[in-house]
Amino acid sequence: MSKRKLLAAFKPYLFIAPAFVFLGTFTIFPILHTFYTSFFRWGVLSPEPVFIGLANYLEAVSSPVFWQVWRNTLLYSICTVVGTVLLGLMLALLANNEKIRGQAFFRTSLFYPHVLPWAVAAMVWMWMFQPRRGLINNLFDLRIDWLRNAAYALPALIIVAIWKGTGFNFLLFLSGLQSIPKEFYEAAELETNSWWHKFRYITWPMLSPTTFVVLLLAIIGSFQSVDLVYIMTQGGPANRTNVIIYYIYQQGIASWRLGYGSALSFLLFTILLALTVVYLVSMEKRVHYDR
Amino acid sequence: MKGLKLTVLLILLTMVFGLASYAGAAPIEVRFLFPVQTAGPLAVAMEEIVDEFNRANPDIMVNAIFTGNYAATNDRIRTTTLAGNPPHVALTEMVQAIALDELNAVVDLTPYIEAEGPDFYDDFIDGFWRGFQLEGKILGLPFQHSIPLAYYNLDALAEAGLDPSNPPTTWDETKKAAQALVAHDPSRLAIVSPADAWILQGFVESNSGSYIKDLETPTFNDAKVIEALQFFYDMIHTWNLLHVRSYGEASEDFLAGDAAIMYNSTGSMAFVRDNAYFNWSVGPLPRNTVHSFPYGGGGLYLFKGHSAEEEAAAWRFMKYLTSPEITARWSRTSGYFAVRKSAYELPEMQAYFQQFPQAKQAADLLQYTNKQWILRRYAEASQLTNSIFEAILVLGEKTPAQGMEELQTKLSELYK
Amino acid sequence: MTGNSRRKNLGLLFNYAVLTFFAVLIVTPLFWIFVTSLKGQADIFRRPLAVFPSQVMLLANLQEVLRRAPWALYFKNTVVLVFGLLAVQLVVAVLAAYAFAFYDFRGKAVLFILVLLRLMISPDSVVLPNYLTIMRLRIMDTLLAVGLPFVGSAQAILLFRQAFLQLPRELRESAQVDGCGDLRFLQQIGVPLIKPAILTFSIISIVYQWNAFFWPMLVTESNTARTLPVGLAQFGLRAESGSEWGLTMTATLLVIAPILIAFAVFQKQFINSFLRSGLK
Repeated sequence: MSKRKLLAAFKPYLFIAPAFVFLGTFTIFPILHTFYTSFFRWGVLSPEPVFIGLANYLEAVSSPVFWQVWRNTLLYSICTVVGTVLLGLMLALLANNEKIRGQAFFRTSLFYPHVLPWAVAAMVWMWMFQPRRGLINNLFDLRIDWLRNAAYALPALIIVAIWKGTGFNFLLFLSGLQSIPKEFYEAAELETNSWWHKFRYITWPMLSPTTFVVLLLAIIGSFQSVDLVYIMTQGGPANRTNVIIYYIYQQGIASWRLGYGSALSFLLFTILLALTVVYLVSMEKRVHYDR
Repeated sequence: MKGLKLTVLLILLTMVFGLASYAGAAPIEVRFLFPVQTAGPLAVAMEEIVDEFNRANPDIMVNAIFTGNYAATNDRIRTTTLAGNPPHVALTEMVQAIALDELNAVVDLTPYIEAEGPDFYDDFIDGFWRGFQLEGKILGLPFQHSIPLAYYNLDALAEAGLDPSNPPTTWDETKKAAQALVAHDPSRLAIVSPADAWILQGFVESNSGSYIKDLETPTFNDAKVIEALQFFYDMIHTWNLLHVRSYGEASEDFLAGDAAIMYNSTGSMAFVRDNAYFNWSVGPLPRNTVHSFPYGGGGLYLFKGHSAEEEAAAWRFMKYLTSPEITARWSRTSGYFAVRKSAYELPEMQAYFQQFPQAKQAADLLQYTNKQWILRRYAEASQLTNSIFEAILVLGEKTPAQGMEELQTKLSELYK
Repeated sequence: MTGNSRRKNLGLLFNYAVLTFFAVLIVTPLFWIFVTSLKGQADIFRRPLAVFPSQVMLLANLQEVLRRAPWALYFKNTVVLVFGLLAVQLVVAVLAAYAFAFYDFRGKAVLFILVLLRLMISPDSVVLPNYLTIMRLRIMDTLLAVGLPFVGSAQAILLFRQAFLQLPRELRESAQVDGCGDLRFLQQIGVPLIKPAILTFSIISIVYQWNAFFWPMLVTESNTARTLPVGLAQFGLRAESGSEWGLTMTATLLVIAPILIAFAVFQKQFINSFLRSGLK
């Protein structure tokens, strides 16, 4: 009898075991291991790790490239998130009208980039950004060398990301809008006809859970920029488009500086951890408000 | 009873012979990693070359593994070597020689080369050996090499009133020619070129300068280096005569007729040959003082960690790949230089030169070539170097003097 | 009254105009892939740039593309990876989600937070340590290396747990009374009932893995395990000579055709899946 009880107590662990073997090997162990190796010099010139304390971290924070990389990462994330959210919201507001025909057409043509590989996005946009024979410069009669210009290289990548991400946010907002009961607007129309008023006091508050999810997904998604960087610019010109994951790849794998790469990775983890905490805390709040 | 014995004997005999013949026929496996850096069906061409070897040598089975580009090849070499399972032969950059030696991964080829007799060594184009020689060792066998070249659209030169049979050869002439080209047709770019450390080494050496003194002593702040960068910088930012492109985009612009002159690797020669619809020629990079430029490219490395038998088989394959016929054939397919002097005497190569005199023009420049610059911890050093070159030449946000001073300081820290 | 409706019509026209403008803008790259895939090198290099080719070269391009790289192998690798991985992901996640939904056990909260953590720490940010792990496991350059880091999917666990929680509690209790064990319950009742969630995750996982580039590129070093996007980048990027854009765009078309066709056919399921994954 007690044996069976023991088994019963053991059962749930058995069920979650496979999942945690993999989560452990490829998420939890890497974090801990990275933290450990970040205190060593380890790589090309020292195949055996040598303890060097905080030197890797000191090297990172005293390197201008490190800060440049974070600036780029942040700028890319913010611009992509703001761009796709604003555009997606605007288009959703415009499309959320029963009188608009061809909803399926708009939905498909706005959303399809989401199902394409980032590598494909990178290839076709590289071709369109080509300075002489690229579609963009020819269409607008420009002479911009998009991917080799300090002012345009990062924005060019952001344009690609906005192109790819807008449709998804459009869909999320559209379904969010469609779930707002019509009666709310009908009631409001008795008092005012101002579009802004209705947006400010009904649409926006009702959309806020959607907006929250959209923002969160967009922030996570923005780290995928590494595909674009790898194919389109390799971080250039002069690190103007270098983002954190690409920098980790450059330092850790391409240059085989495992200790320094680990320090960079661990710094990234702490930031992601902080974001997770924010997410968990606000989830908690949302649950209380919503239901 | 007798029948049974006989049957057993027969079975045993078949098994023994079967095993023996199996063992005899089991070819030695040679894993060969190769990348492809240029357009065209080169991976297919390499597989054909390997297939022919396998058919002619039934005792060896070369397994040709297409790795992608040089970077992927280097990654694979490192991961397999560290895991104790290295390839037998790999084709990768000449500048990896030091890194591979640091990794203690490659065999010193000197005994193999000596065993072939002096004619073998002497038949290779002398300069190509230099990049593989380190501290008395020979770490690789030359295979596919290139130099930076100046490509001229002769029709565009003629249109602008320049003499197509006499393209510019000095910095001064180049500047004047570019000005004439732009004056004639402002919609066409005068010159396109990559602006990385390899192309620029050609300009530095043509100014009698050098990036390095030895493997741990960079000399980027040398006045001659700065002067060469200053010329290139002025061509781009001051006079607006040169536009920076990647290697690939430069050939595309050149072939589209969007640029009259391009500086590019010999590696793009086959692509230009197959796609140019105008008359073109190649020449040396313009000089200030002397003609001198680096050659680059990749060679064949033989890896440690295999039995003597396998190593010998791998060496036979390497010899085959660098034989005059194969190197000549690879040269015609890819555009790289053939590495053997005797390859240039072959009738098919002579016929090729007749048909494409540009290939001959390029080969004639081999006398001016020098070794590609190299430092220890090359991956880091070249990342740093190219990033600062970009800041100077692409972005124009640093002057050559400032940039080179900064680079010198940073590199010196690496070798403290 | 008429003024009002005219203003409304005008407003509607504005909606149409803006929506159409953006729809066209976003479709343009796809159009450009298609048009370029029709062009021969001569048209690519033609000055000034023309939208349409002077001579349609699609078949010649396709032939050349197929000759130069083992697309069938890339395709096979991609299919094996995508569906093999999906099968394992589903089993692993259903079991874990079931435990999280129906059992109370010590450490549940902490373990659940670890799952959420995985949601934020995307596989791309763990490339360096995972690369080393793959090296240590000696599975570099295999499909196993490409797929393993994705087996434990936090998204799947969360989605399925949510779906399980929405089932009426009595369902499981009465099944238990009937002597129905956990696995049989899952097999016969649980899994069929959370089918929508499974479908949702399946589509997301298929699209994600079909498209993944950076990680597969890092851990594949020969054609034996390369997937379509990696093969495409390999094909299109040539360091020392120019790219042949007609061929590259033909190859691109080849790579995206399956996913675009699937999207066109199962549009509703695709869109619903992505919506549900977004809204949890």
